[in-house]
Amino acid sequence: MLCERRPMFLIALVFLGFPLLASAGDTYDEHELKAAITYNVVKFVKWPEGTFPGTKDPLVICVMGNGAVASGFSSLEGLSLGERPILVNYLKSQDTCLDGHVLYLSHLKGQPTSEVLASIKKTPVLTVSDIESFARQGGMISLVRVKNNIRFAINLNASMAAKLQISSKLHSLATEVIWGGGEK
Amino acid sequence: MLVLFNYAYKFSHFCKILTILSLICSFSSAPVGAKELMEMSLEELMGLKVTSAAKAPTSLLKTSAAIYVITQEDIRRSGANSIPELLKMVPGVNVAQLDSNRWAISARGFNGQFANKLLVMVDGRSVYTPFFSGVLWDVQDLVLAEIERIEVVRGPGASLWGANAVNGIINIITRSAEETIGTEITAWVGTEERAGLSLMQGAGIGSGSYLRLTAKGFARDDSQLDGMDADDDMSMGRVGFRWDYFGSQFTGKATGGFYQGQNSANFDLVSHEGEYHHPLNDDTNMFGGHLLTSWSRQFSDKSNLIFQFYFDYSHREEAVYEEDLQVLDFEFQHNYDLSLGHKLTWGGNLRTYFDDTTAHSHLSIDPANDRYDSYSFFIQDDYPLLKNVTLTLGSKFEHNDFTGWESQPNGRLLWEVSDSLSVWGAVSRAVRTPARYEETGQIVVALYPPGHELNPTAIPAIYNFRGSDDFKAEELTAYECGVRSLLDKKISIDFSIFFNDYRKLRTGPDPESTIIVDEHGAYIELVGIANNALEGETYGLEAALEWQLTDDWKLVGSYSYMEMDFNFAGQLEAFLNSFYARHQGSLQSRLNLPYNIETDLWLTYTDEIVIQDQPEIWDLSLRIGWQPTPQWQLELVGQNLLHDHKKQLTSEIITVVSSEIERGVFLRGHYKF
Repeated sequence: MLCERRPMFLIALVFLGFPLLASAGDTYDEHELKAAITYNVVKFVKWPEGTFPGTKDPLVICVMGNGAVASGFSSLEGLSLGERPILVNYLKSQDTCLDGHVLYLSHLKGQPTSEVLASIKKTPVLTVSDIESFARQGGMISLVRVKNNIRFAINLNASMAAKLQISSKLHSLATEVIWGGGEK
Repeated sequence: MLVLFNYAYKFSHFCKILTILSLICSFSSAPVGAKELMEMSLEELMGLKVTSAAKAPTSLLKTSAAIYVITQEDIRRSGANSIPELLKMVPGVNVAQLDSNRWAISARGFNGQFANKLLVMVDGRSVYTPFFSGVLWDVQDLVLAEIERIEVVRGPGASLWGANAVNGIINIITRSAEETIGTEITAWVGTEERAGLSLMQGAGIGSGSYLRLTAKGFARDDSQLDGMDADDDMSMGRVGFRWDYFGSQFTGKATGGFYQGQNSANFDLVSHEGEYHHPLNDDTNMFGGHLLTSWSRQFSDKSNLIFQFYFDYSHREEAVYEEDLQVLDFEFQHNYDLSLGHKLTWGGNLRTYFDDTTAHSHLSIDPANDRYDSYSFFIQDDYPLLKNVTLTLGSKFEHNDFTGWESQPNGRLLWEVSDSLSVWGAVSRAVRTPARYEETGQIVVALYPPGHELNPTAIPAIYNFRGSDDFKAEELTAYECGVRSLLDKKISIDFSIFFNDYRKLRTGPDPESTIIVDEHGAYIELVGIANNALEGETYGLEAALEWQLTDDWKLVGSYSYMEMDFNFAGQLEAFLNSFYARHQGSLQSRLNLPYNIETDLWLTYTDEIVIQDQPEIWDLSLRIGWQPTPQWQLELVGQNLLHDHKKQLTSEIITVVSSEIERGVFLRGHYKF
């Protein structure tokens, strides 16, 4: 009986002791953080010549996802990159990202990723998503959650096919760079 | 006394520190504004932590049934190495391990090795065996990393899923091949989970076409019987594939698999000879495979058609019988949105079983070869009665070769009170159609030696259960309701209560007795013939909680309580139908530590099973995980830690001997690239 009791005591101790161990620290809304990372990644991307006829033409970010995703990206509204204002365009599941420069996909329901990617194939649209192994499915930037941090992977084959230039500064920050036949 | 005072003093001191600490924490975690976030550099952003929310039950909030979903995270952090172990976290589901390769799993009571009121599906394929209306859990396995989720519904789901979805449905859903591109290797070594290796390889193989290949092999160690190795070790190998296609007109998938394995099990071939008990350890050989394909076409926003076909083959050879079973199944389903918000779903199913069963011992079955068909159609309508209230009405009409037509209607009401609160209620009817042996078989259930309270004579009595052509389907009318809520993003709760009214349950009282004399002596053969005379009620409640206390600490708990209200005609009838735990609980603590270390505790409790003299069981699993790089992960897992060895359940039939499950520790590594 005693040896049955002792583990129970230990368990109780561990359960009670946990709150102390569990460090608090600042945390952020997942989708807001992903929006901020997307915004920062965009700074390292060059679109083909002629994409923006004027210097003040807006950069359009299409967002496809649920309400939580949309509210995360709403924090990008009103921001600009230099003189270029950012417009956020929220899409419904069957819409295509026409006239957009960035397409952010998350929590797609009933629509396969490949179908969405096919709809904008070879157009200069930067595709970003937190869908698992997105970069390996032909997406350009995969946002990956590693524990409680957000990291990203890059698929250069996909970005090059769309004639987008992703600065090599970004490569060094990525967890994985898919290029040519394998990883870089 | 002084010591006590000292503790009390220290405790109050501890509380003070705790209060101060929590105050500091609450001040320091004042959120930074979104604008500030946008001004940070990419490096800074990557160093920030995201808030972990409770499992967002958005789809669950729209479900009018007692459903629990085991996610990939639940699988990973449970430390489980097989599917049955995972089910221990679900409220209302009783999981008992009989030996190293046999499990008894049921929902809302009526458990047992041959539990027959639970339907189990893997990617739309029924893995229910029609021989005894149950599931052979030793062959239900997958590479754990390929499981997307396991949905467990307590209560009837017969109006959609068909006969035998009486007390619950377990739906195991694998990930789309599109999501598993790359390679994942998992290997483990340990004391009980002796060694194993699994491989998963996924790739895109053309436009919109993805393929995943899997392979797995493992060996599991013996459990313990009478202080010695039970000699019931198991080894199993399997290969599988899944192909997904996303075309402009169709989406399709195909899955296939093949397994081969061997285990040993302990039997007691009781007879009137000698000391009556004749232990036997015998090998079980099994192999099997399946091929499934399913195609869906979206005609418009409002109309979607799905076809599915599968073939499943299994072979099993064990001490008491040998069986070859082939299943052909075809089904279609059409979802159509009508005007005024009606969502109509209808479909049909055609299934044929071919079985070839040879009984060796303590069992007889006639004829050896049999073929039986079932066909069904169902229709269901979801209608928004009010703005946030949906009424679901539907029924399945199913024909089987044993009892003819059966109808299984249900009505459900869902009130989505807000984005974070929903209330539901349901009334449904379900049937369990006869298993093959309940029609044409006979099986030894018990032996009463002379002097046993049920045997006043001087010679042994052997109780046989015999099937009958007159045996009808068992019936259930279930009344359920529940509440589901997401409290402040950090806590989700789920609560349900049920009242089950069973009619025409199987029993075989008032046995015919014959005295048989042969060269070994005389015995009384008691034969109870299957009839539907048993009826009664069960009721209970189930609760589940998920609480993200801090960003690094989460608690996942469940509790269930149930009662049975039956008037049993005798001790045997009570024994065969009363395997249930009145109280059951599970509590998991998942804590993230620095350096990508996870420490997970899982405590489970199962109340005593009175009819079996099975005492209550407390048990504990512990997992320590470390992810040094995104590619590598290492885990150290301890299971059944509170006992050296412990028996969890006795089988309902005397010929099956269950053993004691031992404490186990294993080390598991994953590599992804």
